[in-house]
Parts: sequence; C-alpha cells; structure tokens
Amino acid sequence: MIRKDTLLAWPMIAFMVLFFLAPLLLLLGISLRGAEGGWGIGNFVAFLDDPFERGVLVRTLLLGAKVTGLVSLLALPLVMLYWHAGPRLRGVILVCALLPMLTANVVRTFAWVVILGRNGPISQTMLALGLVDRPFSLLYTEMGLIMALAQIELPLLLLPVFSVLNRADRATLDAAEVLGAGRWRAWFSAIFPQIIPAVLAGWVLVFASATTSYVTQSVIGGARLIYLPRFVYREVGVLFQWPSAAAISILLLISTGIIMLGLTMLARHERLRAHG
Amino acid sequence: MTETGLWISDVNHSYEGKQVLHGVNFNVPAGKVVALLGPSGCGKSTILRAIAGLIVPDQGRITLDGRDLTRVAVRDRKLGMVFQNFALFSHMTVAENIAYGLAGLPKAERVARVERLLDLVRLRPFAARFPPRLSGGQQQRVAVARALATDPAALLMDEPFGALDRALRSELQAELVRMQEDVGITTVMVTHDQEEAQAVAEQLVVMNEGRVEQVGSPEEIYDNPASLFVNGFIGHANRIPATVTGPSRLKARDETELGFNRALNFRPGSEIVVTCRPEDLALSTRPEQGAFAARFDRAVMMGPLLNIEATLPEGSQFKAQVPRDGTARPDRGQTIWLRPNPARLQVFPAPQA
Repeated sequence: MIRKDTLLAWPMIAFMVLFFLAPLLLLLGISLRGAEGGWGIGNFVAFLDDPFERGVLVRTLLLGAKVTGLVSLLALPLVMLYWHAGPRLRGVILVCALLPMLTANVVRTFAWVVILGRNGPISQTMLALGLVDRPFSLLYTEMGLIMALAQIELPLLLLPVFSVLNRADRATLDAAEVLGAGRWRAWFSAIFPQIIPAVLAGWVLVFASATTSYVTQSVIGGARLIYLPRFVYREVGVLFQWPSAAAISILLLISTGIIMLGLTMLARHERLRAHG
Repeated sequence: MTETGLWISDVNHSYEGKQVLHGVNFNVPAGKVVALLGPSGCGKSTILRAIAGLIVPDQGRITLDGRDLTRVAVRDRKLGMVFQNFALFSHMTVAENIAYGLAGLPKAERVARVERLLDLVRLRPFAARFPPRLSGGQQQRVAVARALATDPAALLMDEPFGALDRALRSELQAELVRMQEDVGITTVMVTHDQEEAQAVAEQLVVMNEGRVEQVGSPEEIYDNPASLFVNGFIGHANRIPATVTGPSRLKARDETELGFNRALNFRPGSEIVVTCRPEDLALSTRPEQGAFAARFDRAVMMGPLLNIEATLPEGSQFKAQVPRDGTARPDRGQTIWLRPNPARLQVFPAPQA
C-alpha cells in the first residue's frame, strides 16, 4: 500500500531508479562480463593483480586524502576569521569563498595552468626573490595538481562549516570562559564540536570531488600522472574495454564509498550526534 | 574595612549607541539570594553579564567580598554561572561537564569533587550520559553542578528555569533553595517571572528600562511599591486616575470620593493615580459610600476565591478577588459596586502624558 505522506517522494524515487540505480546495475552487469563471453569477476582480479593498475587506484585515493588535508589547512584560518567577524565581514568572506564556484571548472583549471607554468607568478616570484636559480614549472606535477584542486574545492568545506557557525551556540563559549578556560580551550570545547559534523560532510564532498575531477586531473596532471577517471576513459575511449572500465569504475565507487561511509559513521558517534 | 557580598555601584552601559544601564546600584549580602526582576529588555541580563565579565561596563564598579572585579578577565573571576539554555557541552558526559572547570586540579581530587556534586544534584546514575539524553530538569541540575564545581565566590543564574515547563519549575525552585542553603553561596538570579523570584530570592531588585526601580524583600515590594511600574509589575494593580481634593481626600474621574486614613503627600488639585490590589476590593450589589460602580463582565472560580473582571464607566478594566461566600453571582452586564480598602491603597503621581 502506498502511504499518502510518501506520495510526493515517488517522482524523485522513480527518477533515481531510472537514471541512477538502473545504469549502476547495468554497469555492474557489464563489469562481470568475461573477455570471451561468460560471466565472472575476472575483470576485477585482473585490475587488482596488476601492480601498475593497482597503483593508479592507490594514487587516486591518496590524491583525495592530500587535497582534503590541504583544504583543511587552508580552511582553518578562514573559519576562525569568519567566527570572529561581524556580519559585514562575514558577508565579504562568504562571497570570496563562493567566487571559485561561480566560475566554470574548465576556466578555473586553465587559470591554474597559467599560474603554475614556467612564466607564471609562482615561478617568477621565487626567481625574483632569489629562492631558485631558474624558472620552473609546477605543471604536470602532483604538487601543482593538489594546489589547484585545493583551491577549487575549498568552498565545499567552507560552506557547510560557515552555515553551522551562523547558528552556533555562543552561550557554551561563554560558559567555558566563565569556567576558567583559556581562549583556545574554550573554542575547541565549545565551538569546534559543533562544526565537526559539517567538517566531516565537507571532507566527504572534497574527497569525492578531488578523486573524480577528470578535467583538472587531466589538464594539470598531464599525461604522466594517471588517475582512475582518466584511466577509465582510456579503457573506454581508446581501448574499447567496456567490461574492464566498468569493473574499475565499480572499484573506485566502492573504495571512495568505504571512506565516505567511515566519515559518515564518525559523524553519527554519540559525542557528536547532538550537533548533527 | 572590606565589604562582604557583591556590590554593584553606579554601573552604566551602552550597547550600539543606546544606553541600556543607567547608574545601576544594588548589593547582594554574602550568602543570600537576590533576584533581578523586570520585563525583557530591562537590562537585567546585561547586569548579570557584566558581573560575569562577559561584557565590560562603560562605567561603574563591581566588587565581590572586597575584591574589585571590574577589570578582571572572565576566566579569572572564579564565578559560577547557569545559562538560560544551560549551555552544556553536548559532546561531553555529565561527569566531564561538571569536571570542566577543574582542569587545574590533580585527578584524584577532581574525581572526588565531581562525585560530591553528582550527589548534591542527585545525578550519580547519569554520570556517563550525554546531556542531550537527559530531561530538561536533569540538564538544569547538571548546569548548576558544573557552575558550583569550581567552588565559586558567587553563583549567577540567567533565567535558570526559563527553559523548563511550568510543572517542573516549582519543584526545581524548591530544590534550588535547599541546595543554596546547603552551600550558602552568594547568588544572583535573573528572571522575568515574579512568582519564581518570590519563591527563590530573599531580596528582589526590580528593574525597568535600564534602571533599578526598587530593592527590597518580596513583602516590602508587594506592600509598598516605590513606583507605579513596580506596583503593576509585581502582582496586579487596578489603576484609578484621580485628583487630590483635600489633605486626605481625593476624587476619581467618575466622581467617586475616597477618604484616606493618612495624609497624602500631594497638594490639592494634583493629578494622581490610585492603585488597588484585586484582593483589597469588596464586592457589593448595592451602591455604597466610597465604592466604584462598574459593569460586571465575568467571574472565574479559583478554589475558595472568585476572580471578578469588571469595567468602569470610563472603560478601564478592574480585577477583584473576593471570597466565594455562597451569594449568587451577578449577571453579565449588571452594575456592581467595588469598594477598596483605603488603608491598602497606593498613590502615585499621574504619569506624564
């Protein structure tokens, strides 16, 4: 029996089944097709057996972790500034944080190509300061890619945290100070626990987005740095290995899925649930 | 000589260009409970925050047991505070919340003190729970225990019962009084609820628009209000605009003449407001000397008493509280006569229009 109050959800459910769940099952089906017909997990075994291909998976997940780490480092001072700012400065910080999201991904990526290049501001500034002897390029290096991805994905962490700070309970901070806590202890015991669920949500978004950002990975990482999205594209577009590509996609989905599930379960911990 | 207790002297404060405290003066004798009482926005919470050190007042002095607190940082004031929504750390257990202010103590002593406070507020079985899992009353007791854990020199409470439902309040108020007597700590409580203030505090400080209107025991304030505002804020006061006609006589707008058993401090001809408590009115269905004619609106039974609402000819509402003596209730719209007890009337200058 269809309950009346779930009626409004049905178009959404139908849409998700038709355009998300069905293709996903199709993908799973294809991944289980053997090279000479028949069914099996041969595609998965082949991928995980090959040290190079396995390395691509590991490198992709590590890229996500490194970008998440750098984004967190960049976000911390901004979050502190936002917390202490008045309403007007908060507006300015919010717009600045949002700006990268208002530009197309391809445009942002090509801006980074200019910045990271041999004649870009990073190389030229360091040359002018005498820190390096010759111009250098961060293009096609993992360092450059992590920097670009961190800037592009910073808003994904900042926005959920800012929204929590807007309705954060200041009284607990007062309570901590009255009880004799110093500034840092008060902040970390009163405000920080309130933003942890938002931080975890932001990490999930940044991680998922960094591991799957095909355009930025390809343009800044170049041909030498291969990550899974591009690897999948090569399997499909160049080698026409549909079953193998499907298997790799499923593996990427599972491995990022496990990490996200872990973070989400952390957010459900009893110590944090009250703030969720 | 050092003065014991908490002294608030000539405190002025402005917030965003608007003066919210005007020369606030009062003191809390050591070991006593004082309630700051007033409508919302009267500055009572601001004073409490100034005592806690969460704001620094523009002018004035705050001393506690002879120690000048005015320039002392919040964390060094060694006060306990209970916040309106309790402001508990929801990621810490009840025991961890209580131990928060004890970071400087050796572990054994810290544990012992937390256990003593858990017993004081009778929450020992809940020590390992997280605050969101507790009822409102239990959360309030955690907040009180956390505030008392540091052995503070004074306890500040901002609407400590405001977040609780009515049935629970009187029970917790009684418990707070018991606990306060055990601990004997100088306590300032902010509330907008006069019954709560009267139930808990030995002395009330009634505030309005950033000024202290009156300081006194609940009885003094009820029986001898210093201003029309206090009179109307603490309990109900029926207001009768009138003119002074003689040394102890006055005439109300409806020509009813009232005689006083004492001299009025007003010149004849002065415009005044006479107020009268509902319980100081006698009801009659016949015209009487010194009684106001009014239209009977309705009556509500309350135990042995009858709460009567009536309207004077000029339109003002009158409330009277009379014993239910078995006589028939008047009909709606019928004229009744309400005679005030002259000894219990209060007289104030008419408010400037």
